[in-house]
Amino acid sequence: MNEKTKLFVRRKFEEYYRYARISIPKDFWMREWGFVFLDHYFPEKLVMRRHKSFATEKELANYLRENAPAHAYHSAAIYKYPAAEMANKGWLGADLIFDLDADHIVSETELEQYSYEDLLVQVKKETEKLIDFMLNDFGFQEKDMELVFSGSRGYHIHIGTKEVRGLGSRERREIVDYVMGTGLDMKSFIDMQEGHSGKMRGREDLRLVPEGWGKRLLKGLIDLLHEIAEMEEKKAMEKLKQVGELKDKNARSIIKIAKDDTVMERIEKGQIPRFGKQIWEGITKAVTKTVRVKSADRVDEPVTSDIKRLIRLPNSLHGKSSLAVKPLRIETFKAFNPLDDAVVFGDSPVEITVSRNSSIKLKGETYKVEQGEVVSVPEHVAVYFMCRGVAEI
Amino acid sequence: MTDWHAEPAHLCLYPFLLAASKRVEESGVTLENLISSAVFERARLRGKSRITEAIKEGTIRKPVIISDTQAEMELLSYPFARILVSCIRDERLVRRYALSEAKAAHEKLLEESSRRGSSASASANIIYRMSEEFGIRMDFLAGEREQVQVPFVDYLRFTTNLRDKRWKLVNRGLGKGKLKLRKAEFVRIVQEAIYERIKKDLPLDVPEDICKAISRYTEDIKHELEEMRNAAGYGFELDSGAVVKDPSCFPPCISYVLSNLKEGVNVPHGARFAVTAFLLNIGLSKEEIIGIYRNSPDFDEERTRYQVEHIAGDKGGVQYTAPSCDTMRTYGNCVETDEICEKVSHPLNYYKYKLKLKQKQEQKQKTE
Repeated sequence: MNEKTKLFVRRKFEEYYRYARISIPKDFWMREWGFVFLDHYFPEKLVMRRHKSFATEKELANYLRENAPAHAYHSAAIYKYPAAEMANKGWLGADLIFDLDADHIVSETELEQYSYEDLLVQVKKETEKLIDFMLNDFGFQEKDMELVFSGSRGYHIHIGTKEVRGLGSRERREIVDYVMGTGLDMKSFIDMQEGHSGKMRGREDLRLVPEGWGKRLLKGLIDLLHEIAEMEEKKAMEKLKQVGELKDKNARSIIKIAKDDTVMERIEKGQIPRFGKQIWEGITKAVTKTVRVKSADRVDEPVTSDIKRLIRLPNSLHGKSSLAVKPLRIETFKAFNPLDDAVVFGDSPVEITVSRNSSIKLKGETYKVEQGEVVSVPEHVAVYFMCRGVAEI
Repeated sequence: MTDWHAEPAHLCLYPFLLAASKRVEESGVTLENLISSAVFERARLRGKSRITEAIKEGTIRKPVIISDTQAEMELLSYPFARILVSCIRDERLVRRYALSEAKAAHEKLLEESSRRGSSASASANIIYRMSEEFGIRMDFLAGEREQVQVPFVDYLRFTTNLRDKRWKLVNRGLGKGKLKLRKAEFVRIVQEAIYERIKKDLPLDVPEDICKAISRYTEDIKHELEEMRNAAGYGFELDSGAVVKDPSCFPPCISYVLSNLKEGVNVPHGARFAVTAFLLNIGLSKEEIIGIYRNSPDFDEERTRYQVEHIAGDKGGVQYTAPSCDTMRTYGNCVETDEICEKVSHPLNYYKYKLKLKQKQEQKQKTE
């Protein structure tokens, strides 16, 4: 980004911040703030100016207006002395934060193949799963959850209830393990009244605890068996051997179970017969694997477990995309399209010089540019390409 | 709720409760009195035995309380024990002591909370009382005496040290922020809470002159501690009393885990596996090995037995061989290496090598 382009982007960002309605986080005066400016280091070197604090909303608003930062962050944590150096801040608690980003959701090769739009669709699906975990498993209220488009390739969830504020790093990691299905153990869900192995020896059917992952596992078991029953024998064998690491003999018995209507009827009611040990182990492996693939969420672990992390300020701009870090409501999330709804700049034509090939679909319109071209595009497209490092003014 | 828990006869069984320390405060017994007055000699001796029992048995026996005086002495013995353990300033002893207190209380709680029939309401009461004490929001499931539910936040506060996978949050049926626990599981979590509380401000900052004044107690304890640490290896002499396996020849990685287990420090799964396989390989019995795990903070006899038997190959599989030095290194279990380590690539070879070396030296000494 040359200096002239930088100045242009800066003017645009200033315009935005002049009228923007920033979502001030709860207890903002106890938070640490950090910013990256559109200065002469930008964007080659991102210099984070952190350990800032603001006593009033006005002070913060003025700061944003004056500096029109490329990136703006606040701490998930609240501190006694937010502007002190790290060791002396006096940690008082932190919001529970989740970060879902394309890097963690699709593999590197997929990242290259997928278009930006496809990535955003993938991430959105993962976010829907996370919302389900938060509302149904963890019992958070919609009003306690702040859902935010990250301004780039993902979504954040902030939860700032008094309850979660005190959680330490290890406790947060347990929560991450929960949503990622890490360490999931089907045996732990066998409902036992008397002692955790006492009932293993009885004869009556087993039941899975019908909550949380127990529910997902039971559904996974039923789905898997149905799938197996409908498959060609050979394919079913292959599948079972692959996901359940089963021997031929045991895979065959499972197929038999899957095709047995009376057994399946029981299983659908949540009554699981006492299979032989090897069969049970194979089923456990297969179900756990398939359920994890389907239901587990791939959040960025360190973001959640780091209790001193900085997170993007909602309604600020993302300096690498020019899109807004947009707070969303769960009801409107389904209909949200970041490439439309997070666009903040206008439509007046701007002439740009393209420095490398690129394309983007913004506000329903696709723009494809080629290196060396000089083209006139709407302002929001121009700023987007400039922030991406695709074009200069 | 009845006031039964405020009765000294009951309170002294749970001396770490806030009500117990309040009672000690209100009794007017000064520190000066506690450490020197002849009247409290019984409390001091009991305080000492709290620690020696922790050293020797890994738990603290709860006496049958038959008089108010005895209850008072029992109650006062706790702050005195804390002073003693603080003067000794041995971190491993602090952990072991706190763990022993917590385990003893856990056992008592289990007993009290599982009473049925006419004492059933008292048994529910003690569960309520503990949840209040440690700020764990808990309620019994409707129409249930055996299961309670707690919010996940309170659950997490006390369970991140419990290694077994059934304690992992992902393996608890979590619905609308709450999870169910059997009463015994709840009491197990209370043990963690108790342990945290007891350990929290230990060692206390006790002035030097006070430590000096009670040195005749601390000296005895130090002696016990020394003896325990020197005793045939790691506390698993065979029934015959003869030490067949020679722990002094164990490689440092194995000794390290064993001493951690002995002190009640939580040991990661991989290290447990290594130690179990190693000890089985050199010929310890399963019972002996289970005995070693008894001190572990999340000890569960049945599970431990299952795992040991699995590693021993009882379940129709093969017996596992202890992991090699390379594997130990990969999982960060290779610690405190010495010069013999450089000569071997397997912990078992270390053991054989050192045994031979030792025998040679003994032979030499005899002939000299």
